[in-house]
Amino acid sequence: ENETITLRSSDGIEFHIDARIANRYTLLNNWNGENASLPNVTGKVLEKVLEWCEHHINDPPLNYDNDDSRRRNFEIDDWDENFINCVNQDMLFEIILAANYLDIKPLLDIGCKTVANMIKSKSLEEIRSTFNIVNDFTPEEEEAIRRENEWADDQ
Amino acid sequence: LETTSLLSISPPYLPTECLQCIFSFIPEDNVKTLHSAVLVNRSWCRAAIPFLWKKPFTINSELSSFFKIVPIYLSSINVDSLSTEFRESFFHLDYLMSCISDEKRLTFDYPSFLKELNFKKLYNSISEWATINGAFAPRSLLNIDFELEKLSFLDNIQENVQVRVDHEYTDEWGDQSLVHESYNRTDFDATSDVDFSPPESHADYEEAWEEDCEQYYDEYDHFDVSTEPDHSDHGEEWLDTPTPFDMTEEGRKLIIAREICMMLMRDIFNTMSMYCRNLYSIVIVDTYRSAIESLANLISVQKRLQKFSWTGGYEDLSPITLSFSSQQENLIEVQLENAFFRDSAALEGLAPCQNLETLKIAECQLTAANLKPLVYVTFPRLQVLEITDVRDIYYLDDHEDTTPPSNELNAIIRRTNGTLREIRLNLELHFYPNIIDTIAECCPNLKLLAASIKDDEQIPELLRLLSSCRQLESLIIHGYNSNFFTADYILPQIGAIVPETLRYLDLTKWTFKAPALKMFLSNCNAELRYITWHCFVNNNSDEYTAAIESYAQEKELEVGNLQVDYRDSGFGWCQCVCNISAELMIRPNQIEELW
Repeated sequence: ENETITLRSSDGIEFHIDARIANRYTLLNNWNGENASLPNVTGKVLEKVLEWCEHHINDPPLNYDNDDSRRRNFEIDDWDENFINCVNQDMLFEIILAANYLDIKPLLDIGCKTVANMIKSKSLEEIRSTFNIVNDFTPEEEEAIRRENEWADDQ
Repeated sequence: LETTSLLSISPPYLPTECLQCIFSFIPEDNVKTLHSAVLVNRSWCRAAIPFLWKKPFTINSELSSFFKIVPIYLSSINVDSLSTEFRESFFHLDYLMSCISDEKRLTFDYPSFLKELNFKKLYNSISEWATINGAFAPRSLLNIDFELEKLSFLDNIQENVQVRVDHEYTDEWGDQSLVHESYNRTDFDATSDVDFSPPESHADYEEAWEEDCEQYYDEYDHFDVSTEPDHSDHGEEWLDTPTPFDMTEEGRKLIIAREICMMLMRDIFNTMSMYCRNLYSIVIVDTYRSAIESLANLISVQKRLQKFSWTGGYEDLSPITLSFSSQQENLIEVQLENAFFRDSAALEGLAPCQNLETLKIAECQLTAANLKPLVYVTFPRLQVLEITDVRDIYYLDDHEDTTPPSNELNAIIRRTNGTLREIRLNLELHFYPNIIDTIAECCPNLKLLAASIKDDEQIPELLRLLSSCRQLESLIIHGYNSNFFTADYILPQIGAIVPETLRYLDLTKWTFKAPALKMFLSNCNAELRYITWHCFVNNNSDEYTAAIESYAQEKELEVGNLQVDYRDSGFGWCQCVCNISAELMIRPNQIEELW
């Protein structure tokens, strides 16, 4: 039987996971231990992250491609697409944060690419309303940014 | 409902690194989306700005946009940081800075985000902006162009900048292009036709710009056509060489432009040597008197130059190739076109480049002495090798060192130990005995072979190669020069031996009758997707097209684009040369089944 390790979420929920998962992602390994907990990841989010990790446990060894152009062009496979489409927007952002925090780069890329696809071809107002983002520019700042980047508005 | 209410009270916060990761998935030319992202809020702005300003001079095509970028870009220059000597060398500096003095302090140091620079567009952008904004005398405009260019490199330490010094005419070698994969025709514009008299208004200028562009493209097309060989006598050259100093009207214009470039280049390269040491790619397209020593110095100071591509007006590149040794850990791709090497040991600079994956040398009149420094070198990662030399120096008895590099090229291929995937040899193969045999023996993993044959001499070698290279996907074997190669007897035999992996077959200047084609296709186990050849017909190619359709049916494929080009080539009233090409595709219903 495979060795297991215990992870504790920030809200105290324990997860017993296959040690091979932790071995794939160095930072997960660091949180192994009876009293160790991940201060920034709630149980709900950690459950989703671990679901993704478990599905990919038998993937080829991680050889993260640092070539930006190659990385940008990767295709999200069907399982991942279904996985990411089944979470709401709030959870999607939480997964991105967790993947970033735990340094799970493939999951981070899937989350980020999904958000990028949601942004594409949207106007400023559409982006703000889609993600419920508040404009925190001062009027002077916004005017300056608009003026300095006016060239891009012509495209 | 719970999620909605949560969202409404706590907008999602993502740190800059996550936002940057998101924006990295927005295509670089999707300026509209990036522009929207910049205006969302402060954190999105900070994260998106570097992506928006990554290569504004490359992705932009609107003249109005250039006019808006230039003052922002120039406003970023801290004039006080310029050395006194540098400042004094710019007669127009004060005037220039007065043009942009009303620009307020910028929110970001925009030039620091620049990752790719098309130098030609930068040159034109600044020139046009200066023309519109000042009543310079025609002559002094020339000077301010130089100054602005030099200035534009100062104070902007650019990492990862891809510099493209694109100048004037180029030639396109059709599908078999050597360096033109990286060359975009739209990069070429009307520098040579800059009208030095200032236009009266912006609108006038836009009109003039469009005319310039149209004129340029007209010239380009004309030039392209004028350098094409005379089809009636020779047929189409596979890799035709442009005439660098065409004395047509267009040619003179180009030479003038090149003289301007010559004056600039040394300064440009010297300035870049000081400020741009993290270039990963330098692409020089068609220069003339290119300040080779300065360019060699620019290469030598680089910390991680991976790609160097040079297409020029036949200059001695020895200093440049010798400088490659300074990048021995870095260089992955080297392309040299239309040059020569006065120093016979010039290619020694390539010898230590053990990470080299692509080596393309075209029209450099390579001799045995040139390639000798590479004979005992192993390039463990070399995948693409392209050598083109279709000039006549090897026929010149009185030419100093005219020995074709046959043994040397054989030795280089032999030492690659099976790494080569793509070989293009546009050479007179009779000068290179056994080269096809060497490839057959040493390149079992070859996926593409392009070569030209003059007569039956190389056919046995070709058959051996087809037996050995069983992963071949593309085979481009042309008849050489003006010769049509008659292949009726050999074609069926080739059909029986081509590897199953073959998809692309280009037999330009091979001629055969329809029965030979039928037998070839009947013997062929490969599922071809493209085939082209020549034939002599009586204005009727039905037999050939029927053979292709029958083959397609047998392989459950569909004939897509079928082109039949007749050309009366003086073979009598009844016969003409015909070039046929056919694309074969998977049938739509099969695609659905695959899904």
